[in-house]
Amino acid sequence: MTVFSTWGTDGPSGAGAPISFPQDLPIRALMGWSGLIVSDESVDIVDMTREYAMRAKAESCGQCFPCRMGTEEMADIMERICDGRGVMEDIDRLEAVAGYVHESSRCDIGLTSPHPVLDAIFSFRDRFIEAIREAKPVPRGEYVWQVTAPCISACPTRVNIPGYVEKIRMRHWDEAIKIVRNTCCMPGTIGRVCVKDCELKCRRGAIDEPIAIRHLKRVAADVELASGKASLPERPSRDEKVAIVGAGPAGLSCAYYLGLQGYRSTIFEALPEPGGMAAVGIPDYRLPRDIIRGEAARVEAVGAEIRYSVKVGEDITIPQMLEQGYKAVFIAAGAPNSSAMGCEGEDAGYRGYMPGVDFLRRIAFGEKPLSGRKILVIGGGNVAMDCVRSARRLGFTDVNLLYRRTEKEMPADPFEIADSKDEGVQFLTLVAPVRIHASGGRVTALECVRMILGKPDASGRRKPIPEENSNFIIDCDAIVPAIGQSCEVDRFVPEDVGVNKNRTLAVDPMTMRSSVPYIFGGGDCVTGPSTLVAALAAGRRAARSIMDYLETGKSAPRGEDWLDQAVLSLSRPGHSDDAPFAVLTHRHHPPMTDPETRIHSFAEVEGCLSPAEARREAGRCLRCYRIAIAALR
Amino acid sequence: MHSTMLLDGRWVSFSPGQTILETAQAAGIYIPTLCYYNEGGHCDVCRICVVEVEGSERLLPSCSTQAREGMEVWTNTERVAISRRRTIDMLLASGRHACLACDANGDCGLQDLAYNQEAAPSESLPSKDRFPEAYDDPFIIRDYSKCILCGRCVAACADVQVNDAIRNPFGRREEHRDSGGWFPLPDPAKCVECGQCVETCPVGALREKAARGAARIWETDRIRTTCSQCGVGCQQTVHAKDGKIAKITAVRNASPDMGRLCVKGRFLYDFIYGKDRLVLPQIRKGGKLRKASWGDALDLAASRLKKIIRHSPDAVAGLCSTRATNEDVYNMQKLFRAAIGTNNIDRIGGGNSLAASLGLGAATNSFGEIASARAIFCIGADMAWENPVAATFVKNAVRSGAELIVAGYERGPLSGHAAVGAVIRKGSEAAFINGLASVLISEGLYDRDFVSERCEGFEEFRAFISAYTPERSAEVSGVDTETIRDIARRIARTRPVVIYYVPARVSGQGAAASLANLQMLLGGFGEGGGVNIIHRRANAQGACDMGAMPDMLPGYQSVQDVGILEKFNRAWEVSGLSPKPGTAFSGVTDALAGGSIKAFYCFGEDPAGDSPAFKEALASAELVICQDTQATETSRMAHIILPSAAWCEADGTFTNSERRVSRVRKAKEPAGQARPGWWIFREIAGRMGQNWASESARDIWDNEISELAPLFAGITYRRIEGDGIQWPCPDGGHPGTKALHKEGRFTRGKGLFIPCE
Repeated sequence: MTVFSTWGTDGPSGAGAPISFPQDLPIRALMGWSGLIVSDESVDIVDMTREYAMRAKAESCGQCFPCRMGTEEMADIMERICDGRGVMEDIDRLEAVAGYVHESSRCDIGLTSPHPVLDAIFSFRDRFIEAIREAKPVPRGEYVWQVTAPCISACPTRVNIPGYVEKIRMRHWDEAIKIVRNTCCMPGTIGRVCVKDCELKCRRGAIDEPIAIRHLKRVAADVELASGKASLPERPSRDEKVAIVGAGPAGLSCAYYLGLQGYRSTIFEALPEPGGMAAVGIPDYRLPRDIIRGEAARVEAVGAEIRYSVKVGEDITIPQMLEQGYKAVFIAAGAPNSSAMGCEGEDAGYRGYMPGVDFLRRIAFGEKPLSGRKILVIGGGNVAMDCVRSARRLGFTDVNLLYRRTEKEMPADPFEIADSKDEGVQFLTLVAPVRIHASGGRVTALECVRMILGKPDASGRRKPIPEENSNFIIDCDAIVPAIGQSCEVDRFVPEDVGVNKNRTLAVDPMTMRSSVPYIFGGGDCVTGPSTLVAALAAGRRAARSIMDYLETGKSAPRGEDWLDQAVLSLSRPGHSDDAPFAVLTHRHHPPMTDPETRIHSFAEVEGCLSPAEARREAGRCLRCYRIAIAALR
Repeated sequence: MHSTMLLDGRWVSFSPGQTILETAQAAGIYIPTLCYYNEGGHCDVCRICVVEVEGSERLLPSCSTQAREGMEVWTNTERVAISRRRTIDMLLASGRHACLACDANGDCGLQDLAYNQEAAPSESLPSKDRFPEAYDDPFIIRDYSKCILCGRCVAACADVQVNDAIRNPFGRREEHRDSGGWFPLPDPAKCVECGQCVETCPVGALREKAARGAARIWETDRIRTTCSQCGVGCQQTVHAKDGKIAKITAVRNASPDMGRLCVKGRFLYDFIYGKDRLVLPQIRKGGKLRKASWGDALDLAASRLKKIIRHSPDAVAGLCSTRATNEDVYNMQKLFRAAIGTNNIDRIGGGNSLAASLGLGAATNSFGEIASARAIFCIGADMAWENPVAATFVKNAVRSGAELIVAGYERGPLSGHAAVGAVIRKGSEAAFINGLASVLISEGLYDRDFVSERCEGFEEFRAFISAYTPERSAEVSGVDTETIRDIARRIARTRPVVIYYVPARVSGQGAAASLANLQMLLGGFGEGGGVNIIHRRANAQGACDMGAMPDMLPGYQSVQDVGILEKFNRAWEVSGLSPKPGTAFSGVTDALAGGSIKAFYCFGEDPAGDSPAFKEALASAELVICQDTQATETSRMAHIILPSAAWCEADGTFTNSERRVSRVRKAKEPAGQARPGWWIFREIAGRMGQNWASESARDIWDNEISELAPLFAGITYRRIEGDGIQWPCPDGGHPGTKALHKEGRFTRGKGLFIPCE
């Protein structure tokens, strides 16, 4: 229960109702970029202020003078007070320096970090005076801390985005890629195909256009690749082995972070190829295969072995893994099955009908699974976009996308939608399939019904309702449904492992642990079809829990996790216009192969910004860093 | 279009994109700065220039906040002053800023601010005492206890000179536990001692070692001049105290170097104090050189010359320095042509090699065009060694995305910045370039329209080049055929390409003409495209311009043109200037040995030191006059030695490799009794019966050179007080010419393909 909060007010004396945590987290007090929240009055605010000032000093990058020297002086004053050497003038001086750092610094470390310090002095001045009067060392408490930013909090892997962007600006490419890999082990992959929620939260976006956060990761990865000088970090060596089911992004990520700590792992992969859906679900024109292979090779280099074409449940079972000496199992089997459309004829096995995931997978292995002139793809997500664009490249000249809502409701990336249209794909919206027409076992047409939008459903989107007597027929050579994927983890996990109704693995969202202590899970097989970056994050989170389990026999959330939860709940949606005089800039766009050329092959469409352009793009970053610390229960 | 804003209560106008600081500077409102370093694209960290802006809760840095229509800005409120003062107070407490013994005293950004802002460092501030030790550097003193971590030196090293010797140190404080802070520590293996960091350091942390204790800033005279070290012609400020050079700094925003110098221009000026300096006239008596008075030496030189030319004026030959000023060269050739009566005057190397192809023997572009070029092809010696400041522009261009191709004699520092770096054998330039031309023609990559409309001699050239396969080119040059093809395709892909040739001391023949052939195939003459040679010597271009050539009068006017000769006869008040081209220096050895040349006048060169054959031939000469700044192998064989003033000891002009005529100024008295070169020639001419009116370098240029040579007609000393002007400059209102032969309008009419190998 919150007993005191200045959070969200404009400074100690400012307006606005203070905010506290919406949920009951084991946090006694939190100091952060927007104030101070106390839920346990016994917290020593003076010592916590010292810790916060020390953290601000540690995070200062040294460039702008007020933050460099001011945070140092703030920390010095607080150290002095907490050592019992403080003088009464220190309080005024601290206030003056904090105000100076706030009003004159360059980035948000200097802008925000004085905020809770000033709040603490304003609201708890008597405690500071007391600490100085007593002239005795104040007992040092323990705290957890986090440095974040709107973009960082938006990213499931919590990549230190302003950090690597700054290193790119300084041309320290090696350090940039190192920062990315600290929390995200596939920069070349994610730098090409990430859904980039970070860019939606980029504060630059409120001023002009968001930073090309995703693409800058790709540039850093490409620069490393071109230099041929990728280096592996030093790592310890340990005996415990972990079994991983699936060499998709979640599995690779888990293996990588286990490997960095010296734990060896074996990945059992059903396909003859690493990358999972990233390899066989995302076409090469968006993500060339050698990129994923290269990043998988790096995972192998830190101590993972990938066994290909092994079907877990058939070729090896989880109990057999334990018998072979694996101490823990991470299940990252993905969501490889197609969802049914609920359309008459979809189970009839007609030639010319093929679910989207199968269609893409077979293309990925070099086949030409469908042929003809006219194709219908049903769906509005990224997989549907991948299907229409791949169909275009297979030689279909009349490519149509059918979607039951309108373009506005499509979950696909708007850029994917635009790129598809550039490639000549026709969009038929407010249309749903009813019946497949076939002749001689071969698809000839699709009967559809027109839809109208009703009230918003659980997803917040308006629910499509069939319009009566509006059925019509579209002749076609092929039909590809791409309306979703499903899981079937119950097929191979032991019976005592908890499985959800939708056949996903049930895990604790903080520790990724299943109902069985040594079995963990992450990625699409836990969440249902989700993003690549979420899978990478789940893999890393699971790796940490697995290491805890291997070391202590149990896995529990860490203090940082609770703080992370608190920070997420405190991050304001949207952003206020707090940089009213920022210089207006333009985002740098990478070159793209023109539609006429690119539909003739699966060669990569998006080019790479030059290092010079990347540096200029990096220079647009506002470094919206914020620091939070918490005293835990 | 102009907008207006309210600055300290005054409406001032600005153009879109201007910052508050730029607007204030234009309006004459002073805003103090410290880290602001426009040339390096660096600012925004010191926050000294913060101002109050109506509508902003925080103070805003004026250096990086753009002015906006109707914006209300206060530059000097109490709130601003408190912020500035706090920054300065903390800076003063964060280092050991001992002004009394500091070389920067009086020339220090922090000291100025402390004074102007009435700073009062508090004693309670934590004074730091842990600073890194600097390694021992031959030219630079680094005292990190005075460093304010402003980042300017980092920008100077990385973004201006592009040496990346000082790694950007900034980042989380925790990354810097070992070094004690964000100190800009250079990597001695990467530092090339250009001193740009010293130039830009606003405090006393980086200073010139040789200047330590030499002079306080207020004790020095500061004289602008032109560097004598290479053909780039950088502008320098010589800081002199009591006739001695304390240090040399760059001139901000000056052309051609834009405030840059290299190690040679900044630190290597001791040659004028060398112990081999010639300080007194000498005359050989009884086989030995003995001190003489100027009167005796000049009388003797004149009488001996007169005696020899009584038989044949062509028995005298002269070799002119490519380091001497234009005015010296002009007077030397005038002495030869007007007083002695021969065209036997020449120079070694230098710039006329493009004349046959294009019509003018000079570089077609400007150094200022390089930084914005899209593609650059460098061939020859490594520009970063020979002409480091020119190389900085090339590296700037690469940084902004230009494609650089280097075909060097070895893998030098510039190759490291190249997309393709080939190594060619010395002397194989023409063969290598022919290989490129062959690929362009055989693969149809050349500009057909340009070649057919703007050039001639193509059919002969095509026939010649058809035998020049990449294989043959590879065999001669040592570059593999695939690289030759790759380079040819690259230069054909990104046009225009600006070509730079840096000759070595000994380079192959035909390189320049081959490059002209190549550029004609590419059709890329004009801004950002052309053929350029950067000379090793400071005035190699000027020596040719001034007529130190056996067939050309000043301004590339032929001695065989009757009308031209008549003009010079009138101007020089003589009759019968010789219409016969003289003996080139390459023929002088044989002519000396054969006895047809009896007297040799050597100015600022050492041919006897360069060539044993010449030395042997020279031994038979009746008369050797040597005019130089220092003793050489040649001067030891002289009958008469005339000590001439060195760079910094006399006024004049140099013409750099982009045709820019810049002033050279006297900063100290000549060593001993040395005299300006032009004065010596004039004295000898006077003793040979000629009375030359011009009594100073300025007279010579303004009244003679610019009067007689249409190429320089618009250039006068008054117009080049600051930046020099690039010829052709036909009249006093003409701004000079940055790029020659625009759109293929060649000086000679059509460009001529000249097969050469």
